[in-house]
Amino acid sequence: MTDPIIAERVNAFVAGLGGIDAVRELSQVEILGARYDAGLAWVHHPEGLGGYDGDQTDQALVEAALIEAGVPEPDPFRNPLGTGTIIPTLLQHSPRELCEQLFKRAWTGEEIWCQLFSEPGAGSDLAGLGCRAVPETRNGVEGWRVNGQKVWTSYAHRAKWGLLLTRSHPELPKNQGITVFVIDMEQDGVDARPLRQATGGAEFNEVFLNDAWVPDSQRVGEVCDGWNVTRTTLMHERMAIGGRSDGREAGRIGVLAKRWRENPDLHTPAMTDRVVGAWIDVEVARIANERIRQLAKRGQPGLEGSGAKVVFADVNQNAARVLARIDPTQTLLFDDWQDELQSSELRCSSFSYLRSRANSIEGGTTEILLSQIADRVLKLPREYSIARDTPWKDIPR
Amino acid sequence: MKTPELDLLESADQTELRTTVRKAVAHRSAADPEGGVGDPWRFTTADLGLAGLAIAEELDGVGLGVRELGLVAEELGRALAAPAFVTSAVVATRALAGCAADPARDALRGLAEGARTAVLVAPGPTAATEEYPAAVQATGEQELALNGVVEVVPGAGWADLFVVPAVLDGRPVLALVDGAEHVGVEVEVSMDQTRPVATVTLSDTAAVAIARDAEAEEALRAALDLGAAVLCAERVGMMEWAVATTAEYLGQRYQFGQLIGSYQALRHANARMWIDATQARAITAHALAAHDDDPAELPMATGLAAAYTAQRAVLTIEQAQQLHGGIGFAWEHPLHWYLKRAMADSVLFGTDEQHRNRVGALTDLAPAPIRAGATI
Repeated sequence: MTDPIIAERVNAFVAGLGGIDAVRELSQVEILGARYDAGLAWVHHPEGLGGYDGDQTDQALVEAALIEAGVPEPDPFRNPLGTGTIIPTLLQHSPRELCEQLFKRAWTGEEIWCQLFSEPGAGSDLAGLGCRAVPETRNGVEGWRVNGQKVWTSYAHRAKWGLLLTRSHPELPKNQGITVFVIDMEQDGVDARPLRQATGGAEFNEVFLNDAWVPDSQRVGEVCDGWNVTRTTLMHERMAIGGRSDGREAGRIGVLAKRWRENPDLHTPAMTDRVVGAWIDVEVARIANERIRQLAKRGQPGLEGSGAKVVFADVNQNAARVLARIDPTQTLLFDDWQDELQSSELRCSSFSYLRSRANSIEGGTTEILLSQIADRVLKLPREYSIARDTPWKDIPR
Repeated sequence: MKTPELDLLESADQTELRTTVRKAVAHRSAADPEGGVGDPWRFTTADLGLAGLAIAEELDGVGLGVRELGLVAEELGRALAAPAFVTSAVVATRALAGCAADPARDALRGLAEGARTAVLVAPGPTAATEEYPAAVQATGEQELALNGVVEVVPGAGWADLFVVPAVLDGRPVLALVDGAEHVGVEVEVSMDQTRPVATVTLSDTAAVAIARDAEAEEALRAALDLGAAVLCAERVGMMEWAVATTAEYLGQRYQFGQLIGSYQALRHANARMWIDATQARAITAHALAAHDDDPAELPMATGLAAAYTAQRAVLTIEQAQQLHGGIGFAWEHPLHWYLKRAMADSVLFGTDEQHRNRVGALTDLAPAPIRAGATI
């Protein structure tokens, strides 16, 4: 049931490029660029910024119509942070000129983006971050000099741009002295180094900022309004994680179930109980996630997403633990401590186990999420904390 | 595997029904502090006509679906009100609805009016996956005589219509006994005083056959599976009561000069309870929706929901008691009624272990059935 107006838009787009055969000759970047210019990138964006002021729900219809017209599907992971969380933040908080400068190449994937958020001293307490920004004019252009260190940054080594959280006003309370910028990652003052993790691999980076510089025209939101900007990004991050819908036995539990069925010689009553228990817990979590998806579709998102993230971590970690112990021989082995970017489906069960340990830490620790639920859903009394008006510089660290 | 795309949310009409029931039963628990048990139908039949909710309109019922049965059970569970709803209006009614014979249809008319209360005469833990019960022997043709003793039957003490699974010449039959005066009902001292169990004794008791063989087996199986799914909804209501009651207490009680709700260990425990309740709500919605819309998914959906909610309801209410401290162990506080109900519920219409094994068998992860002759 294609919407006729959307079908007409898509047909006009294909015709404008010389027909579907001509479109198929184009590269992904060329096709995506043309979609952007035609307002068929993020359809709810204003004209000139990749959209046509369409309804948010038009997006899925447009994607479906493009597929039906024979336009090749883009790689959804070409620039995941750029398209998933950062562009929506910029759209809401940046002047139009900055958006015009950056959006198209973010959409096409020509320029990769990263988020410079967490710091060695600011993990769960992100608002306590200390990366300093000080006003400095260079070559007659007003801007900011930046010094500090970021950590657990995905894509930093490949990124052209970073969304950077800084401490611009240490004398203000922590949430009130943060300013956000778009920083050029390809400058001398920015050094991204791989950060090796417990699996042996390095999915993330540490980023060192030594007298890096950013023009004031690349500031996102007002000076000291950075926490507000950050909340927008975090909200989109949560939506990007929670919005997926998987089938039964997708992912790790599927690997577990398959291996279990294929190896009846390994079955013991106690292990059978653990396998069935793990399967049930994952399936309940999957169906609960489906309900959250339906709620969001209906426009009633609640804090169920935070609860779902806690459960996702629990049940995945349990499944990975069981998987790593089905075959005791395999429990003693590992495949590759050097981790040359193999797809995680090809990795051994010991790898899955180790990697799963991060599930309850990354993207908001289980404890932080539980505290959020206690505050916002259960409306429990607040935990003890230092006075909210304490200047950032006076907080013990 | 196939992805179920069942509708897990509530319609506006369903929300309206929920609100009506919630208002009607608020503060009207079947448990009273003196240790007695109130009227099992209080504020349901008379005020709301809930007894005929699932009965077809041509039999004078309301003709609503399983989702609606679930949301009523949830609201009754939240208040621990009207405990006969599950045993009579859900399970016994579904057993009768599976029988085409006239006496069964007449019985349903009586139930829809709210004049009668029915019970399925099977031990509380009987699961849909088990063999047909053989505790009662029948003799005769259409007019039967029943003999046998059936233990721990929930809701039997309130009933005047008895739906009895029996064996006639080695074959399954469903028999209907009209009137409590023909049946020996001994209400036992029960874990759940709000929904006590009874021993039912039949001695040459006159009955009529309402279904035989496959029809009888199918009617019984459907009734027990429906009971298992609707009971999940009752647990959701109880879990949500526990979450809210605990949050309220943590927000009022001072120790060490602070509201105890500001202590992280207690906050997190309460938040975990809330998470389990939201998961229970989703998996229960899935099971109820499968009963309405997806018969192929019904065994899996019922098994999943029963296995999950039976265990989590007990743990959630135990946790509520722990977070209340001493007052949660006192008779004067309603918590113990919920704990006892949750514990009793955890074996009704199949234990959580049985439902877990059922999922194991359906997924081919635990192929061996738990009892000889059991079906999935």
